[in-house]
Amino acid sequence: MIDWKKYLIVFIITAFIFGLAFYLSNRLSTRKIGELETLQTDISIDILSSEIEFDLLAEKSCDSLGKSVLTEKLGELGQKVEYSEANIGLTPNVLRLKKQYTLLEIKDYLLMKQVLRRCNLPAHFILYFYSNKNCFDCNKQGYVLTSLRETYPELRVYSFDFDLDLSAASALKETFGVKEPLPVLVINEKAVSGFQDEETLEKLLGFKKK
Amino acid sequence: MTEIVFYFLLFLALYIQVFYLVTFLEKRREIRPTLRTTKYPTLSIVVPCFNEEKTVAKTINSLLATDYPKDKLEILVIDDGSKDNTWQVLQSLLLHFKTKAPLLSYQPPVKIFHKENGGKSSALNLGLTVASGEIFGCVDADSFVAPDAIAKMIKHFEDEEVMAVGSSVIVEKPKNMIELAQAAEYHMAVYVKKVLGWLAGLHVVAGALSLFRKEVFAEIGNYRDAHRTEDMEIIFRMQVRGMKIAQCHDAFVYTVAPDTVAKLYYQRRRWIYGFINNVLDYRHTFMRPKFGNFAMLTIPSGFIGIGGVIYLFGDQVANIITLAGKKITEFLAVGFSVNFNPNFDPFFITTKAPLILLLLSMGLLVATMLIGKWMAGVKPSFFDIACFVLIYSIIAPFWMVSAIGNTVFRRQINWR
Repeated sequence: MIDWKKYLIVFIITAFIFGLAFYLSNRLSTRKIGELETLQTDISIDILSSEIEFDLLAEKSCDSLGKSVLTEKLGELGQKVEYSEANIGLTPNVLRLKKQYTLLEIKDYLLMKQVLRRCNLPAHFILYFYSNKNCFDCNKQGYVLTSLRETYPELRVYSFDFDLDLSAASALKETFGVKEPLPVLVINEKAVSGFQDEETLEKLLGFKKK
Repeated sequence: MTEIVFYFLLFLALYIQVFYLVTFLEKRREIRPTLRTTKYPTLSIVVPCFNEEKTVAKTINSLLATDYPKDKLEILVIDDGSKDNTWQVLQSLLLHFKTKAPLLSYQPPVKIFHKENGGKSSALNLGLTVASGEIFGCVDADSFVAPDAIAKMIKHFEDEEVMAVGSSVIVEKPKNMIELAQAAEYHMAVYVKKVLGWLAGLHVVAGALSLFRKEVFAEIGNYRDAHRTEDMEIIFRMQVRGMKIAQCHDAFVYTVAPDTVAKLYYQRRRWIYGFINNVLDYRHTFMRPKFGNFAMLTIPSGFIGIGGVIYLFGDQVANIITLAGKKITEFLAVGFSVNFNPNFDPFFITTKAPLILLLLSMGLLVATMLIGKWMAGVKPSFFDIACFVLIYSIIAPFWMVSAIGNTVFRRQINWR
């Protein structure tokens, strides 16, 4: 009465479709990670190139470096790493990308600080330490920083995951005395703990309301 | 935990879809126009009506317009204590037939009965007591039978084992989006019912038009109220007895579908309530191989459908709440802001496995509707399918949850 063979065959077909979907999803994730790796390589080449250019030309390079497109690329990479973490999960590959991204941020920060100082240009940096674990104010702070960057394009914001296990990031935390509670913002090399609204940040950065 | 439930439901939903599709592909060559019968047994068609003044005359005329020999046909119209003018409409229709009779080559074989309101099953049972035909049929008073439908259905009775035959229901002239959504759904049902017919797994034959051998009732008893879904319960009872039920995919009956969200909600709530409660009444059959595909496939698939729709709805609500939470956080942080990002980057398209599977399942659903349309001889169209997806994904969870709630709290669901 019941065709058990058919029940089994359909089970195999369905299981195959399931497997195929997971395989496809995995392939696409791998491709995305590959895309991120390429982007990261591009950025590290750019940073290295800027560094060399700066060393070679000293002050003469001020014009070209001031208009660096690096921030934009770094921003894009940041978004994509964050997206991968949320959607693919913190797999070993994604974690490695995140660490590399953090290193690139620190490198860019150090270089830009040097460049701007030597070129006598005003330096507006925020180092933003956040956590993805139960930090409601971090979400709020993220929105404020995004909005602030839109208002002041010269502002450079570098975000760091407080929980990331990376010695360079730990050194950075130590240098500026970054401690919980989060979020912590390092503005003009001073650490400020807790959520800061737009107005307070403008004051701390010495911006005049536009 | 929710992820496991999701994968489980998704797997089962896909399993059922694949099962139907495999069966369809196996038997697709059998999809061809049903030949007309050459043997015409005597046939009694009962038309139970309650407040059907607007449509009942058209229903009767559609039956008279069928090509079934009039000397073999009797139409028994039973007014189940209508509060409107149904009875007056029936009387004047009969008078009209009498005056027109000399002009016709036959005497319209229509008899009308009036009784106190007692529900559709009681009207059908009255019909059973007065019906004289070898075959007993039921036609809803808001449905119109295609001229060749009955002769095609009768053909199936040439197989002596066949005890009942179901038809394909099509929405009569759908106009608004609610009706169009149902049109697409009914097209899908043309396919699903045919597949279930092949699998001997039908759990209901359309009340709009169904035929039974009269002896079925002598053997298993008359109609029961069965939580206002007597057309479902009678098939459950037949399945338990292992009676053969055929599905005539090209015997069409056109029905007036609910045209408002409220009417659709109450109709579907009654159907789902009836389904759940009939399954509970027949729980001894659930997943018992001895009751065939009916118990192993059809009934479980009904629950998977209900579970899946409610789960997806809950998931969407959770997503909306998360998104709203983010927007509120943003509002608290920076006030009202419109951020529009015109740069589209394919990187941000989700490639998670569950989404791929869900899209595949939706794709199969659309394919099913298109196959149903082909079987119903309707041109492929996508607007009604879009209406179905949009309207049902929003409203269906409510009637399902309400039907479950009414079952849990033992509240009886009424007809309207």
